[in-house]
Amino acid sequence: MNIIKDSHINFIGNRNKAFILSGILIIASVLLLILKGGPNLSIDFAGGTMLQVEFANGLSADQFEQVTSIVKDLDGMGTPESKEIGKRDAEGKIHEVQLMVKKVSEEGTGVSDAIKTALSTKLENTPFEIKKSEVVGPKVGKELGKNAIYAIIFSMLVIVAYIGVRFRFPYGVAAIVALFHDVVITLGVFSLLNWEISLPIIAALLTIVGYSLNDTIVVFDRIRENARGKNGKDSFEDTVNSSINQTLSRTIITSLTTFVVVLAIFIAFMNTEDVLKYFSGALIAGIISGTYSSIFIASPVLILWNRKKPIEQLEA
Amino acid sequence: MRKNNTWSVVFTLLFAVMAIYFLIPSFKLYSLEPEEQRIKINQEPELRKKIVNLGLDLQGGMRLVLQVERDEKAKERDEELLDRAYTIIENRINAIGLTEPSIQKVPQFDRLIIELPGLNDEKAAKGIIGSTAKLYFHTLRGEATLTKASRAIDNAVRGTITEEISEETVADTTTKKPATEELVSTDEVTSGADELLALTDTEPATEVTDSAEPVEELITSKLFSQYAQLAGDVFIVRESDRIAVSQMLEDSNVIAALKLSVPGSMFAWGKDVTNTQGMKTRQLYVLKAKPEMSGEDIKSAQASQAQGGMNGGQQIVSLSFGNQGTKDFKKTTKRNIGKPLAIVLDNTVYSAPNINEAITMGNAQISGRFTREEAKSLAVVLQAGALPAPVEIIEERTVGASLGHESIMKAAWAAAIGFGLVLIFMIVYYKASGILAISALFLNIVFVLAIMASFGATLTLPGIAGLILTMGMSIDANVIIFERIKEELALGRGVLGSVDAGYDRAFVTIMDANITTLFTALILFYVGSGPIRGFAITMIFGIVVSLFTALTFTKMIFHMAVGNGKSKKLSI
Repeated sequence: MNIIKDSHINFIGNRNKAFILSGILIIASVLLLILKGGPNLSIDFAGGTMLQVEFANGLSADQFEQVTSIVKDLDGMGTPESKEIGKRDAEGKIHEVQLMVKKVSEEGTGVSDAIKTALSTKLENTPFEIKKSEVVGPKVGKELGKNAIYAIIFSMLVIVAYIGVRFRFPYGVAAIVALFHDVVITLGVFSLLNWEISLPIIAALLTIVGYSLNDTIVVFDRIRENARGKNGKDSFEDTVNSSINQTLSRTIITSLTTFVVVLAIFIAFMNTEDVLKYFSGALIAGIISGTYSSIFIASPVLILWNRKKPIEQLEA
Repeated sequence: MRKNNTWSVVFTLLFAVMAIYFLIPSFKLYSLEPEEQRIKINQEPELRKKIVNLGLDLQGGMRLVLQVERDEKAKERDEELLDRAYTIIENRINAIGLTEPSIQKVPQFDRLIIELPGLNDEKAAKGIIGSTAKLYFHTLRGEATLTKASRAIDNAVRGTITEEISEETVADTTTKKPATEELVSTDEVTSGADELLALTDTEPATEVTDSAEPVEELITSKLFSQYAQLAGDVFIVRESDRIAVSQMLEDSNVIAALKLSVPGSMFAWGKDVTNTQGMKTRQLYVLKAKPEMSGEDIKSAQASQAQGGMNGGQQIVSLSFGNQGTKDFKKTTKRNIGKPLAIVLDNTVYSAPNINEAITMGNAQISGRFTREEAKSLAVVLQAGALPAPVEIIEERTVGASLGHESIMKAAWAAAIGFGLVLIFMIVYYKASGILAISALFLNIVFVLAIMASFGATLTLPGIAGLILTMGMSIDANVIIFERIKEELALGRGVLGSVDAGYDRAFVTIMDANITTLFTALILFYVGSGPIRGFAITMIFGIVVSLFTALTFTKMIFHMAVGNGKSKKLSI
């Protein structure tokens, strides 16, 4: 069975439209990030306290308001937030809540105790259980933030180097442009949905960086093989186009299988506040963007380069 | 060709058997009830190196990162600081009696990473772990000194208040505070409290202006003597004013004034909050700064309930000194007969009992209003010894066991659904070859888990996500090969030739593609910690194993199916 047999889609011919689309998406992402004052950093990077609280009897909307104001009343502590988790029950009551105070100025271990005490004294008849709590000191947050950025930059450099050596330098550049595109768009999606950037999200970004390269390499490999084989019979552009078409089946199937398993994780954790929800969300965005960028970004960049300075002729 | 194939089959079977062997301990452990699991691990701690361990996010527990605060100004750099802190904290944690705690040193940063699975009482554990536990015995300053101190602070503070403050706040109201925990006649305390109330109701203007001699950061609307009521040899302060008074005492002008008027003295808060007629107060002691002795040489410390006598029913901590400690204690108590001796732990006065006689047996009791947990924590901390430097909890993550369990269930769902969808697709699209790819996938999972078990690695929730991810990615390698084989078949090559050509051509591509993902996983492993590391581990093992099965195992099966060269068609 073959999903795509002998396709002859003119990917390269449409590359300008693709560039425009990507350009718009990237600009939109950057604008969003700027408008919202930077990425929404979780306590991993901003420092702070997070409590995930389950109320056995459920909270009415009013009680939820009360809980929110209790957290806001702990003054001088930072930026407090409260959020519902999961679905409301048949009576419309909320059973699980996430309380967060970000960017504490002093060491925040007191905040979680303060919240717990306030909850038990100020709310009547509402038994609760702390299902999860996290406290990150501000210095640690900054450290983790620095490490995360170094990790991303370093992995991108390693990859340019590797691709540059395995293929040729222009391929490395094309790969990095595609990767950059993927990371920025993923961050843009997060900004749009107001999702937090936490440590596991950085892990997801790094995974995207590594993984989205897979498709790109499959295409590059075919381009290199075809270019050497044809020895100048077809133009570079035609070679690239047919390479993409030949590997289309493979590209789509591999992306699809990975996409499907990541989607399964997302659906399973959709109603929680567990980090896997956002982790798989990032991967979904990354896989879609990665597949797109292998076809519509990496290869066209090669062509642009080739126009200025022919690539494959340098080899033989 | 046949011979190579036989060896391949043999090796693969061997690996499969080894994998199952490595996984047996994990199977046996996790099929027990959670309670029995804990017991088993306690009995056989080496078991941890043979199983796939569950991360805290899956079994519940607490993770702490402690920063050891090294004294940077010390003349010599204490190289063993971290090791000593490690030992003492290890002793404390073991004394708590938790199951399978783990402590790691991070020498470059002077940090300790502590993981406490299945922890119930986080507050107590943090208290025990974080307490510096420096125990000292101090004598108290007398009433005259306290009065002097109060006046000195008032003078230092006066510069920020514009209104005239009446002088009657202190001198008229000395209540005799009983020096021991013995008898506190409730009448006396009540009247004292009334007077305290009456006084502080006269509120002076709360305006704060810049005076001619500005006191740095101190902003106050009251004098010290209006916050702190003198009661014999101790001050009594409303609990709600505690922070204000603490700030006052930290002000540099106040410190300077105290240095002049009452040199060699230090302030220390009492541990307990007293509740009289609805008003909560705390005692503020003035001690001789130089301690009579330290609590370094404590041989043992036990928490128990006092049987009878004046402290009957209370929780107490009984100390036993070692040889030197006993001698020192005898000297100290002899020197201070008839006077109170303050027991000070981490600059908080736990109690200040009167010394009735010289204590020669080297035993002491600390009584106070402890709960049983507090007494136990105190005993643990005193027995393990004081930390060589203060520690700060810079990161703390706790997951309840119920959440851990929920997460496992959800992850299992996700894995099952993901696996199911991939299975359906592969069989429909690639038919029999699809089944081959799925069996390779299954082998991958078994192999990865076996490798993790052989290292005693830890599986975290992101780690499970990593496993699921490699499920999807390991299929990629097979797809690359299969597509190549199809191309070769389409070009008219024979079945066997297509298979071999497919594998040959695909090899390079697969290597390139997977190595880049491997690189990023390695970087994640190096940079990450805890759950992220768990993810990196499963990714790394997953990729390596899937490379192996995709390039050797599946090829081997193909050869078995078509090796004789007679088949004309390939189910692909």
